[in-house]
Amino acid sequence: MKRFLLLCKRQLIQPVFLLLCLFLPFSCLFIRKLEQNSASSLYIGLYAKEPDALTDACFSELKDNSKSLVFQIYTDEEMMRNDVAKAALDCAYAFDKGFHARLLEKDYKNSITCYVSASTVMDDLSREVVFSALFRVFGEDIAVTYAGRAGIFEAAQTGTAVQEIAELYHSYADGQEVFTLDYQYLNTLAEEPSNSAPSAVAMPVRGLIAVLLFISGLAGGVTCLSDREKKLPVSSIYSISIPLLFMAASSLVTLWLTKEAGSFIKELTALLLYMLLILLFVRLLLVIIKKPALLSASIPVFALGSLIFCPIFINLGAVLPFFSVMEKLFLPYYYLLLS
Amino acid sequence: MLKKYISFFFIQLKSAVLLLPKLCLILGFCLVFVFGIIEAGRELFKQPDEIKIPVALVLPEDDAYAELAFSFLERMESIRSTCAFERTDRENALALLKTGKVYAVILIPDSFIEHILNGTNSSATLILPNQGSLEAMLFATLADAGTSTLSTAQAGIYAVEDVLISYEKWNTISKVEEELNKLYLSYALNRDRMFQTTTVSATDNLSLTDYCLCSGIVLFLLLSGIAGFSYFRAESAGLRLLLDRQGLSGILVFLLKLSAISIVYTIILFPLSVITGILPLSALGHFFLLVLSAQAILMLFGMLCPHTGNYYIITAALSIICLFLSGAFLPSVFLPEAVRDFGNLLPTAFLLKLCRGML
Repeated sequence: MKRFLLLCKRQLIQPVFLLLCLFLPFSCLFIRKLEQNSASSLYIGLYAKEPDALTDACFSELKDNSKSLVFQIYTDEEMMRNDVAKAALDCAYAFDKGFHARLLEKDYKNSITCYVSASTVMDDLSREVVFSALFRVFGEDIAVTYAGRAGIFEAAQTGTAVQEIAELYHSYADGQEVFTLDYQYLNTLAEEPSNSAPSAVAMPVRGLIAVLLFISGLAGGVTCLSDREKKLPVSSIYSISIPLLFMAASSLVTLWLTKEAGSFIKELTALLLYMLLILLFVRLLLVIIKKPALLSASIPVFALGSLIFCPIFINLGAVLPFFSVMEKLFLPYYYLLLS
Repeated sequence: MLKKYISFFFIQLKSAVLLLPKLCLILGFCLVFVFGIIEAGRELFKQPDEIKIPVALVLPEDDAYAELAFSFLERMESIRSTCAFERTDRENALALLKTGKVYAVILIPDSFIEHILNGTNSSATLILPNQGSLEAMLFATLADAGTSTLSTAQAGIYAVEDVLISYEKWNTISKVEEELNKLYLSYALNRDRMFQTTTVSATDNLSLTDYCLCSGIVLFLLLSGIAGFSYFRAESAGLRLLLDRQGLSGILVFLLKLSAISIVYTIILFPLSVITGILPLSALGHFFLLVLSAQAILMLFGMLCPHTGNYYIITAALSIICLFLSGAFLPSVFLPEAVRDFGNLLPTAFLLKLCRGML
């Protein structure tokens, strides 16, 4: 025990390590606060060659109600194209002349031009969003035009009926009597479903912690091999677990501060199991690798592999079978699974 | 005096060369990763139809209407080409979402289709991976757009139906319902015809492949430095005193060490980048500047951390956090605006900019 405490002291007299343990929770909290007070940065341009009530209503709908995309209305098409080229906009939409009439006549082929650049990532998705807003605005015209042309009302009734349809359309479209979707998230399943979708990507605190803990364990392994080279009588378990323990404590505070933590017992159990897994893995590595230089060279490989293959930033394992195999070779995957 | 500087530089060059086995080992593993990813991607892109978003669908038990409605939905071209539905029960669906086997779970409540038909409309629930993940954001945006399209058609049909009822035109209701359904559907299904794409050429815009390449290069340069602690660490007090006596100040030693390691990295990595066609020969100056900047960051970390283990942890932590904020792991357009602005101020953003300038 005395030796363990001495090793803890050795770790803690390094002011940089202590600073990192404090820096991790507070930097993550700072980033989380930045995320909460900020809108999405996915900018999409809109331009109508011949603005009318339909395009104006559609643009307002997109500007006011879009959650994950920020729409900017332009009055100069060339300027909008330049902003796409400069990557100030992810992509942009230009509505043709006589767009409303073309829609009514069903002659709408290629009536909206989507400007994209090599760096565009949201063209397909933003197209769905633009169409849904346009459809919502134009939906009234579809119902009203149909009612006017189908001859379902007597000539004298048509004017009033069409007006009533328009009013009812708005009350249905803005109300709760049509199809709605509630959102729930895996980490907050116990909470009530909400009707708001996420608008931007947040920092994956849990994934980051998983990688850092893994690196801490490996760093402990290198310290152990260096101590062995210096013939210091230090237990490998102590060497590996000490940096891991301090980083785990810092991680727990980080999870709590960033409101990522579930129940305390669950988080603690997941962390302890993960630490045990790291301890076993690094201990096994120490059986195979005897040179600290070789083990230190393996750290970037494990770090890179974890960041690329584990579902930290994006889960590619669900669509690419190669990733679903590779992710299992890196320990952070198991922590993400445990928590 | 100059002779002393040159001698010291060559000693540093020799020390940097000693890092080569480690660098080659890391590079070897990274190439295996990259080769695997390219091969996996190539296999998949041979059959682009196979790339679909896996979604678990939980339908109410013994609900023939729901079964029928979703079998129609699955056959729709726009749905079929993007999503692959897996019908299962709630527990299994959540387990699949948790293990990352599906991107989302759609829970359909009991009597869902009857509710649509009679206008009660109970909400379906979309369960997404953890809030703030890229998959959650993209899928929710897609689902929001789809929901809005469906509810628009419903609003139009309900409005006309209500007016027909108020005018007591009972006989026409089913016919009108069918015709309006077809009308709304024809706009929704033909939406792709509405759009034409024009690519705007620009010099500083990167394709997704170039973006990944750029992030990979910067990530490699920073993380491979983890293995170079023996080179990057600050000199001991005794050695520092000795160097001072020889007229080699701290800044000079820093610059000579930095130049030596940057030359070694450039000699190893640049020809490899040119042979593989990643970089043109003319990018040599740019590449050297990139390596120099990355090594300068690593040397600063090394000077701050005299202890081996701490250097690894700090280098990894700061590199990963800064690279995320600078948009190396996900394009910065997906990050909230304030985070993106903050990330642009970090040194890693400068590294990424330098790298993008080369490609």
